Amino acid sequence: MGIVLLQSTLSPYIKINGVHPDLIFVVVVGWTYLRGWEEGLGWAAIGGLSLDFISAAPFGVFTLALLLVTLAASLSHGRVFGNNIILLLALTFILGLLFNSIALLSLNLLGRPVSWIDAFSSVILPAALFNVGIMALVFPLLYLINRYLNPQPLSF
Amino acid sequence: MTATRNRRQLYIGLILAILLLGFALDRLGYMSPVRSLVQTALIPVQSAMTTTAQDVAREFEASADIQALEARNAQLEALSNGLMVENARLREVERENELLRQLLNYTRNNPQFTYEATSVKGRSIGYDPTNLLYFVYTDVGVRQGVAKGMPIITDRGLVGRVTAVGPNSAQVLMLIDPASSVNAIIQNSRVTGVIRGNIDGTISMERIPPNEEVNPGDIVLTSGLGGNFPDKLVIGQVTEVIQRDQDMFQSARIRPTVDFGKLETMLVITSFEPVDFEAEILEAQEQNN
Repeated sequence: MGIVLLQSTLSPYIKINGVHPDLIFVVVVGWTYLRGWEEGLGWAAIGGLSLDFISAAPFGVFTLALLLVTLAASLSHGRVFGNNIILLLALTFILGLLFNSIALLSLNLLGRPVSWIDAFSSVILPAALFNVGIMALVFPLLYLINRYLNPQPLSF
Repeated sequence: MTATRNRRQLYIGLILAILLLGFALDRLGYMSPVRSLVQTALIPVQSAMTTTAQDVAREFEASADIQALEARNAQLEALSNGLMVENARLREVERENELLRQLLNYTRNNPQFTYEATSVKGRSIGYDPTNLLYFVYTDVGVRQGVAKGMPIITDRGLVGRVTAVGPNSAQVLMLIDPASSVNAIIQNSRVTGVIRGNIDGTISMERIPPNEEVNPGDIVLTSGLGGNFPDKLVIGQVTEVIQRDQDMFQSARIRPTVDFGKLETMLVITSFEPVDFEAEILEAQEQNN
């Protein structure tokens, strides 16, 4: 909820070309990448419900979108590339496109007018790129938090 | 592995169940009080965060030569917008004088048609946290006399209208939102059209008849048609006219006078009651029956 409030109050000051990063999405994807689907789903539910409570969108739109991208993100947890940051950034970009597209599709199906070409070029794509930049800043912090909460055992 | 899969299915099922329940309750209107309660509880935090963010932003803006030039530019732009609004207002006063002279007998015979503007000042406490919607939230609600449908303005022009209201907060659909639709008129030519928001946060005037002349620089006001907004509220200025042979109507890009990214204090027009055509038609049908 704190991150949602931060996004709500700070969004006018951290916009580039009218687009701000999706902080909840970045944190949930990053944490899922580190910790797997169980914790990721929990945080997706909490983050999505927080967004749905604060946002003017019909209830459930962003929870559904976060849920789906978290499931997709969980496929990357513990794979061969491990904690490869490049893979994570690429994943963030693709999932960022997916997140806003799913949310927009839900809004469209619920009666909201949408111009898909304008939406993709002016919001979805720039937001995905912005999210990649924010992930590069946020992920080290998440990594440190993860290490603090779950210190790795020494091995000999 | 099977246990993990079962657990995952259980979690997903649980979340989907909560989602569906929440969605159903939202559609039926039962989520509004819950959302209002959550938003009311968050007002102190949001207000504090907004005030801090605004103070910090102002500190940064005042620091360098480039920022000083930008501030000067913003001042001049504000002055220009203010002059444009004042100019629009004076022209409307002049036009209104002419109409009133012509309608003098009518107004004498119908003294009940008087208008009184009152307003409530509301502070912007936050924006919609997503990139897909353009809403702003204020710290005034039912207790301050705010109701759904009331127009929101600043000294620069129209911001939008109230779409949901709680005891001490209101949700405002901004003009730049794609779901926003405002009947408008070009001040000089009296050409009418519809102002719609675009997903990139800009606004356009659509459904302009193809044979009407629209020029960059024309001032756009609310027309009052449809009954959702009072007339003569400043919306913006035409920057570009788009006319293609295959289109039935012209359209125009509009530069709004209001800076939607920096809303601080707004006014709610509490004396204006939007017309609910559906309700009126139903009432008329019931009376006929």
